[in-house]
Amino acid sequence: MNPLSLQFILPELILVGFAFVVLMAGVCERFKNWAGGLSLAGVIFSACSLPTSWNAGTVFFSGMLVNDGLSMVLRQILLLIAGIVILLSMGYKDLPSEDSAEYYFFLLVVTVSMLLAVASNNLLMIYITLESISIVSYVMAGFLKRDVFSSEAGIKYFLFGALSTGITLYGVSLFGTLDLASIVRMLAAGSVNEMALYAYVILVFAGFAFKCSLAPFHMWTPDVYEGAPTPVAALFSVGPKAVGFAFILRVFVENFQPVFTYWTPLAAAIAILTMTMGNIFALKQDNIKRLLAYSTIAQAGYIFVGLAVGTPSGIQATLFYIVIYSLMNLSAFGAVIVIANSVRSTKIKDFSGMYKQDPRTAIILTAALLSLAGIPPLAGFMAKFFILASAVEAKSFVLAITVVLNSVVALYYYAKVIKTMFLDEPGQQAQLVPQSICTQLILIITLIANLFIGIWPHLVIHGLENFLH
Amino acid sequence: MFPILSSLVFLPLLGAVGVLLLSKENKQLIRLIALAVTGLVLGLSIVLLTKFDPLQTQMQFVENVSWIPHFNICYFVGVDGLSIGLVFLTALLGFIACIASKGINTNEKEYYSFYLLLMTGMMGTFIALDLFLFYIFWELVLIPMYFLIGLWGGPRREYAAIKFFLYTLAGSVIMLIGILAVYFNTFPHTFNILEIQKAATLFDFRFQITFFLAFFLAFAIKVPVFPFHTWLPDAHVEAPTPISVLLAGVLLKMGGYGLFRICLPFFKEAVVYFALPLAVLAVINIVYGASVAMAQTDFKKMVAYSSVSHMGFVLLGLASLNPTGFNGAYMEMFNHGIITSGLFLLVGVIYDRAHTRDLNKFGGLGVQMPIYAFFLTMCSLASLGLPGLSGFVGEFLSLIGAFPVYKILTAISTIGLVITVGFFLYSLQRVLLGGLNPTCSKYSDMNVREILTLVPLMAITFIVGVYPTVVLRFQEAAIQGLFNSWGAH
Repeated sequence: MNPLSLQFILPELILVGFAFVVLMAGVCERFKNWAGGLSLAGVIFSACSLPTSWNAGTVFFSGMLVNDGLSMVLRQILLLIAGIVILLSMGYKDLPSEDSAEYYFFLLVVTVSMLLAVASNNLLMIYITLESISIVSYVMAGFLKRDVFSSEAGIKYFLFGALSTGITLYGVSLFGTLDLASIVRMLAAGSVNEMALYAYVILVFAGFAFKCSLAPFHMWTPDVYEGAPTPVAALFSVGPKAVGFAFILRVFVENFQPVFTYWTPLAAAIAILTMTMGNIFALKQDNIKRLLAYSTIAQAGYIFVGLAVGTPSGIQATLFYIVIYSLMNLSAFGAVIVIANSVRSTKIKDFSGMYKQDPRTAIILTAALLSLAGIPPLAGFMAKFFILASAVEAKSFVLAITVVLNSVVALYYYAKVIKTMFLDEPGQQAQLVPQSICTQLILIITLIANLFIGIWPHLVIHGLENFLH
Repeated sequence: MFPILSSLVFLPLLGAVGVLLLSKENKQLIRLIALAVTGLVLGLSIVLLTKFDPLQTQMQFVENVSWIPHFNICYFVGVDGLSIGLVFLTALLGFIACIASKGINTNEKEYYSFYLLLMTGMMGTFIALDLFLFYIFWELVLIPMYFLIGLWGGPRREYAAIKFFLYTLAGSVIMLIGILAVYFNTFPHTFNILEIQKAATLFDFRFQITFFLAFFLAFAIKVPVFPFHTWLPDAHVEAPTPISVLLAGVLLKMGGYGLFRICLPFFKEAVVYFALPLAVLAVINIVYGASVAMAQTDFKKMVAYSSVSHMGFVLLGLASLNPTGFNGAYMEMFNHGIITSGLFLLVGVIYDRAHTRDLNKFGGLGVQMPIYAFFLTMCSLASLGLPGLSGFVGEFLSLIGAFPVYKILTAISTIGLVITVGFFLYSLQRVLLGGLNPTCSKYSDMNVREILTLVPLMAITFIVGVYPTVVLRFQEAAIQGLFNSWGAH
């Protein structure tokens, strides 16, 4: 085996090592409370050992993994997400402390799978990582085992997920080869049966779309987010989504666009359907987690616009959006964790008058929601601006108009939450719980990043450009 | 050189941050800071006026710094004759409305920080010369406005606030697509408004038609042009007095300014193509706005609808496509800002005493409150276009400009003037004349602070009415320049 291969997966190896240390720590009564800190250390060490250079041609483990700009960017983002989610989990009061070691173990394992997933260069590897993310996710969704909703979330996620990965597996088997490069060669040579091609696209795409919660494969999202522990929902809303988009980018956008003429209209239709359905269903929600779930569906639609356009600027806009979206969505979920800790509820009406009781968290949630709505000068506006710019540049005005009209609809339900927090009178006196320092830190950092990137977006764009060219 | 324009924009922002950092209890200090900042902005804008060379058509006090190189976006600001008047108007009304904010006595800290943030947005919109920057400032106005109406407004404030937010956002996001389309159709790609003006001759007709409409929608909602005006009465009626002043005085002008700064020079053929429909919309605004105002019993709503009517003259002057009409439209914007602000302040004065705005619940106040009666009469007369007061000048120039082009439409729009006279006199009659309504017998006359807010507005109304050149000289050269670039077409 090439020693460089081992070096390439060093971040994953470190995480696996720490995962087992965390599991062991859970057995000893003395080290039980260390699980969160240990897993955070694991993520930090792992991030430090990420490769510093890349080359689009470098493959490892006989072509299973690839070290290119995309995997480079996404591994960084995913480790950042994992770090934030660990910090949020440490401030999450509903987590049963006797199981916390297992919880962090699963969190690290799902991170390993996601890291490998974005570097996958072979359909078999893609399938395996997809499945391992899914299986750990089912457990995490149902982690609050005494909570009926959480168990329901786990089962629901499992049923939908098992079906969709099964479909993907069937699709993957259609071409007789699992190597992406050979499939591209077959496509270019025109030696592929057209029916097989269609079936392949639809079946494989369905599995990926399920992970990204693109319509019409989004049905599971609200129920799972509502039932799952909030930090887990936060993770689901960004991590597996980023992975799903990476798969779509690798398997379809880069390779299929030239040969499969229906890709662009198909992708555009799915993008339009996703944003519209997400936003329209979000209008009526009275639970903040369900509202955020539908909002993430809509956001997935915006992200997918960049891939539907498929131009280099569209792909860049997509990656930029994924970065910003991760930050603002984690910020929103983090603020919801803090507020829900105080009011013991995730109903929006129980957030009333939050501004008077906990102004800082109310402001952070407001900033995150306005950023998700795409209001300048917040980062979310820049992200949406780049997506729009790529659509207008490609003359996809239908997509562009759908995006902007959807942002108006979206503003209505985001503003509803803001209105409840700022304009309504406080209901029952909420019990202000002292928040863990980690959560506060994360909230403030995401708020600053949200403002800062909104004003100087080129810092992030510049970084992305380096990786993509 | 001292960056005077940036100071105008960012001083309020600094003030907003400063206010946020103070403790909630320091109410006096918070108010003092807000007054100092807006006062300083007004002072700077007067310095700007004196240093401004009205004969030049070039941009002055230009600052240009690269901001997002990836998209060739710059922090590019400057003023010319089209913006200088509105910058002064913003600074003046910002200061006056800040004095009038004395009545706000809940959550002062939040109020003044939103207020100052709003100032930044309004000021920035008028000086930005980069389309992207323009859009950022344009949108920046929305968030503070939403909260200012929603938190300190009247009984239906939540409805009014969200309606304002959604309406304006709907218009501006469509404009965003227009901005991007213009960017990608200019070679090399740029957001620089002056560069695009030069390159605009290359836009083909279909492109012009499509994206004229995209920009027009955003501006028409802001102006507001019939049928996009329905947010205005709600927002005006529910907003607290100082915010109504800024809404009518400055926010509506953002729409008119956009039409002159962007639509006219970018889409010349489209403007010519749409001139007649624009004139028709203008006349509908004038007549319909005035007729609806006539039917109101709510004093504030009546003034709000009178704004719809007055903004029709802006659109009419623009649609006439000659320098006289343009000058009239621009005068009308400035004068409407001054006069209607005065009217909203006066409605606020009576509301503070009566806690109602129902025109039928007053009567005979002319004896009870003589100073109030003087100001209200003057403002109403100015607003209805009495010669010798400023309101007349703008409307007259607009009509002169429009008459050679649209004889019948101009004739119809004078009906609007008659109705305007009607409802203002009718409201004066109900408020000031007749026997003293017993419920009004306790009302005190205007206090010094209230008088102070109105005196500068009245003075400007008199001066401009008698000697319009004081305003015209600032805008004439720029408008002639704008028209000449047209004539070449």
